[in-house]
Amino acid sequence: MIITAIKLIIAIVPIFLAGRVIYYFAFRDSPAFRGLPALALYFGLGAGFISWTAIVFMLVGIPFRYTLALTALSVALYVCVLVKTRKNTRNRDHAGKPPGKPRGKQTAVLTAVILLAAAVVFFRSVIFPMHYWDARIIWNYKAKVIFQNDTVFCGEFFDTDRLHLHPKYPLHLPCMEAWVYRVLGRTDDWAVMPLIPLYYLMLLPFFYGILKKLSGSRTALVSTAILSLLPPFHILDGPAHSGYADTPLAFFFTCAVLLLYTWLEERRRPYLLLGAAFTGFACYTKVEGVLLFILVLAWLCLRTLVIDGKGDRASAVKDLLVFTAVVTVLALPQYIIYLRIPNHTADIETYDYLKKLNPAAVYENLQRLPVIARHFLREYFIWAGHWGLLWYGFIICAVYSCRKRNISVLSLMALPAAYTAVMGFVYLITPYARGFEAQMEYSLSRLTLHTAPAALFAMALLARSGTADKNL
Amino acid sequence: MPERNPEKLFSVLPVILLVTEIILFAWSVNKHMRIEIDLINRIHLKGEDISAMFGDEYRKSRDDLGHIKPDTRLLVVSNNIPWLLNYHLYPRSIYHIAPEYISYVNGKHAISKGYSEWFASKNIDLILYPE
Repeated sequence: MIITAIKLIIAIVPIFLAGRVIYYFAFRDSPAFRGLPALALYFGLGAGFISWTAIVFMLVGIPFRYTLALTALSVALYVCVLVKTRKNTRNRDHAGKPPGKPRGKQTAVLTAVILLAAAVVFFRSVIFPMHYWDARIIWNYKAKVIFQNDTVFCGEFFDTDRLHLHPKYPLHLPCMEAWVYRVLGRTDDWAVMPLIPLYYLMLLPFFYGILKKLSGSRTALVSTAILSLLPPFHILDGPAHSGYADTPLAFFFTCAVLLLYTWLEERRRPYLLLGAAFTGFACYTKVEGVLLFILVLAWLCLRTLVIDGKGDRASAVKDLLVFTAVVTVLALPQYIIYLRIPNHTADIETYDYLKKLNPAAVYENLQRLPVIARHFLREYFIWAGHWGLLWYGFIICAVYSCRKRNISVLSLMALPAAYTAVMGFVYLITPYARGFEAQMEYSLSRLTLHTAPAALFAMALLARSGTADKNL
Repeated sequence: MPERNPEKLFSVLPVILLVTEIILFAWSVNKHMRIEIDLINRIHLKGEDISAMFGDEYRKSRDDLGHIKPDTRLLVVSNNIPWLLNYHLYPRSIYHIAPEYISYVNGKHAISKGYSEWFASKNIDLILYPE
């Protein structure tokens, strides 16, 4: 037990250290992230980079186990970074340190609410071994195959007699779980669980950190409390403690949107690069990540070329190209593997969306529209247990933004709205054998979760009316 | 610090949202964690090892594939959701118990939707399925 705990620390701490090292080398001149938001950023960068390295290694034929070298490498580089930053800090005066925050009863209560929600998610993660359906059969199974075979280029992914369900699904989460297994030296469905809630636990401080900078600490704290309590993180299909890839995708996508929004506000290049990196990570966490990337790109084009387009268009185009290039470099290895893996028989029958992406099939399925609309209405506005009053608030805020002509927030709100519309279209063409209604029933909440934090972020931005505080 | 929006909407809306979410959270945690804690207690009372409930679905050798044995134990939670069943990869383990809910589609076994009703109809709470 103690040895497993120590090994688990050896597996998880280097994720943060790797993130810190990447942040130092890639974004040395970037704005200072401090405290927990910085830790969240390091976790995201570290997890994204480790899984990317694993995917690239496997693609070029290097066994997965060699990614373990990153553990020692990140520790060694972290020590170097620590020495260097200490030297720099000693040379600086400490006048730049932000003043202490006033702490009231409200702050204490809201912090307690957030901590309670976080503790519940962590407790429910570690109380049982991994037991949710998709978590075991889709994501954790891949991790076991990668751990045992040191690659995805093996029978479980390529031999049609041995294929498991959804062999083509992206490899971020399986690689991270296999990373833990590699450090442990064995597969263990229970010992891997402390990794699972980290995405949720890191999302909260990052959300708070960026919002505090843009909207002030009170709004940030209230919004983070609402975020921490969103029911799909705790109940329904695939909550934060389940081991599904939906919370990791929500984490990467939300971080990307928050960073890119800050970039649009301040036009400081590191925010763009960090936002691009997190969008790239989202692309190999779930296939929906690619869809989100396309939507984010459309949003950035709209903001830089149309809404804020009075400035330097050439520079805006250059920024967009940089963003696309970073995302492509990060996502490409995963999708090369994706194209090489054959389809599962059941996948062809039930998930071949491209086959249904033709006008005749769409026309044929138009009769589904009323049922799809009814499901969406129930999910967002009638089944209060799913989202509370969040989407009512969203509509109110959207109307308010329209009235006040707050285009920057309105364009951000268009992101979750567009994602919802695309999801509706996917349900329209889905060839899912058990029927699209069954599919909607158990997937709509967790798909909505991908963009819900971004929607909440947009709502929280309306609570400010002054200039932004530059300290994070 | 950025100034707060003075409009009343932004004093009222966050409070309404927050209070709703707190109520929902309290309800859901009460409901789900009670089931989970109750389950753990019952597992301990029966002297079972939780991790042994799962087995390992993954077999590295292709030869093993033809000799997969169903898990020795199947566990069903009291609210009729069979969430610790080890049928994830190999539905044939459940096939021995409820064959009418297993269908053979495109060369693969598939579990039909009625399986939870089957367990409910049998009033199964915790079942031990010996090899």
